[in-house]
Amino acid sequence: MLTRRAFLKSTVAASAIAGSTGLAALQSKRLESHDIPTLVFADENNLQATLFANTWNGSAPLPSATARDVAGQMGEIDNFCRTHPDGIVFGLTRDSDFFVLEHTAAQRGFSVHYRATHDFRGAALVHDIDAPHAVALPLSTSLQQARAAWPQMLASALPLIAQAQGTLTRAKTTVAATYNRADSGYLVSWMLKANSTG
Amino acid sequence: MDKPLPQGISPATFAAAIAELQTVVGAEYVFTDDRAHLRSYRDAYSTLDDSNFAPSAAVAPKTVEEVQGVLAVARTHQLPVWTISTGKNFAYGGPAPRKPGYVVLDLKRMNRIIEVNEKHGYAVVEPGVSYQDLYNYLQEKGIKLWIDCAAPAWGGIVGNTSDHGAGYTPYGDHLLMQCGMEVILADGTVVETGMGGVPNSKTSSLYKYGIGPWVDGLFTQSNFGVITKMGIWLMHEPPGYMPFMVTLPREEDLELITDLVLPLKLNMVIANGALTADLLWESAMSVTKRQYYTGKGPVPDSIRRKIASDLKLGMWNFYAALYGPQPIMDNNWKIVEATLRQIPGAKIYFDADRKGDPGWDYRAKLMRGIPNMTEFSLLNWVGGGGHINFSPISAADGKDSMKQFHMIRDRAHEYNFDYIGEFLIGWRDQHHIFMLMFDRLSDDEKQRAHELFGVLINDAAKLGYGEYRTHLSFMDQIADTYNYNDRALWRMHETLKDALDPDGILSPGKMGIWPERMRGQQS
Repeated sequence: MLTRRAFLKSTVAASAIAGSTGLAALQSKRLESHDIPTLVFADENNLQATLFANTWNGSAPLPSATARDVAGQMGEIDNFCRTHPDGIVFGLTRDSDFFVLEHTAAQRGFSVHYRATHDFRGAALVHDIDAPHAVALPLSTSLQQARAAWPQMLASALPLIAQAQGTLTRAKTTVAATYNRADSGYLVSWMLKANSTG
Repeated sequence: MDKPLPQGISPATFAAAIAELQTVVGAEYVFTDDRAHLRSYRDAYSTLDDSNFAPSAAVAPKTVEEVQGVLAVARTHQLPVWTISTGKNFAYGGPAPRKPGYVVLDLKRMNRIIEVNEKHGYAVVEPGVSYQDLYNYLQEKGIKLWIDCAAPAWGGIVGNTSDHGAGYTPYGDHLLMQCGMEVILADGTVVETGMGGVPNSKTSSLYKYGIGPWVDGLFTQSNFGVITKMGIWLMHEPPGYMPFMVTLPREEDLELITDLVLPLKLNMVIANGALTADLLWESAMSVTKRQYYTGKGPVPDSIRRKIASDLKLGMWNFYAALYGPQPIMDNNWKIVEATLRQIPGAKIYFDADRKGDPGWDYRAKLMRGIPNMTEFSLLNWVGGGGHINFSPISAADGKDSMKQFHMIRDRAHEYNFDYIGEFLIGWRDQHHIFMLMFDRLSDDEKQRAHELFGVLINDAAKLGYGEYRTHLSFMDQIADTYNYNDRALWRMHETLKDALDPDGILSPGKMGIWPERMRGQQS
């Protein structure tokens, strides 16, 4: 799985999504300019996850870790969560990898701030989101409107998700899509934050 | 959702107990916030609403003295405490307690590797040490010992061994390889078992049985004490290692491979925890169900054949390894190969043939004691995959294995689930693991999975099969199947429970063993 450490620049990212109708209501929100340590995971064997990862890293390939064995990343997320209690971990990964990473981070007091499944069913793609109340519906709308560019759109929306507050609200949307059977067909996007950071 | 309190405990009593626990271990190691901390102590794979197994608090002591202090508080207030090691026993309940409201006694902070003895091949560890931890330690120190690990690397050595877990090297019978324990009884007494009963013993990790009754087994899969230290034998790194795999083209080949391999196991030509895994278990390492089949119910036979062809797998796939000096491996391979060639259509593979195949890679690692997490990939077979394991023991006998396989497969299909399973060959038995996989985000699938599991317990019992391990939800039902002579075995367990834990504070209900004050109330 691909991983990368970065800093989430909230003001820069905000401008990247300014054109997104679904999040237009949030454009006017004043965002603080500060760097948030981030750790990003993406499934290197999945096309959508690679598109997501590239949005964070430009066109340069992310360093690749051991395929299929998330054990290689457990030490990394544990160390990050231990040393960056103010940091954010997010990813677009297989569900099994998210499960392991989530439970590893939980031991350092990190919990789910956002989670969504992206599930190809026949000729449709279903985005099923649990996100802070302020962004759940706009995000759902934006994913629907983004159609095949949803991984890139999701990557661009992460700063806003990171700063959103409130209890998790569910929102679901279905988009017509062509499933490429070379891909697993089921991904999870997720964000973990330390419990005290809301 | 409101956080549950322990049964019969008032809010005032609970608050007092929490304050006392904070005095024992420090406030930062007593967890009461449901969202911030206690959600991580729930069972992620429960087929029931996970509130059925939600704790009221968790406490994480660091030392024997702190454990004794926690138990003293529990006795004072009759607070039920549920002991976990690393809490990663997913498919069997994970870190969750048997009933809502229990306080989880989390031993993760007791994570010392106390001793590693390379000459005699053993380690002594605390409950918070995982397989990955011990492996890393051995690698860092350059110690030429191998661990034998459960499939997921994050599993706890003490937890897995005390839950009768198994592995894949010649040291795969984990409880057999356990030697000596330190146990804290409910009244706070510290007991050293086996040769550890002699102060300053030089052999507590070398000889299992001491003198008098061998009691170590009493503290496994039970609630008679809290294990705080365990000795475990480790295999010396052999001069050679040769893993191999055999794909078997037909469903009925399970009978053949079982009967052919048994003499090799009995004579220790094949010494390790060899196993026969079904097609879908192996496939799920690389592909998902929807990549081949998007209909309802189990994968049809025609699709199974396509998966097998695409991934170069068999309907069954046998994994084993040879160990030792090259001349011995060469000699033993002649015997093994001649045996395997008796199976029509069987194809033999070695590392050079399968390297890069995730299913092969992780098995080859496990058979040489390299921990990994690859087996979790299985859970991508269905979206949102969760699982509970139905784990009956069969005889290491072809016809018996086929009978058990058909029984479980047919019921699984009846409930619209795939059969995903493996047979791990023990000394004379097979551990049959049926991975009942369901979408954990689907209430319908969870309900069907729960019903199926209960039916399988009854089906198995009627045929004389018992399970060796199980999930929280089914501990009572399975305990009831061990009912020879009017439940004599479980009545004996209850007698021991009443003697060793009269206040009934230690993991009430574990494996269907309830303290007297709670008997007859369980649901």
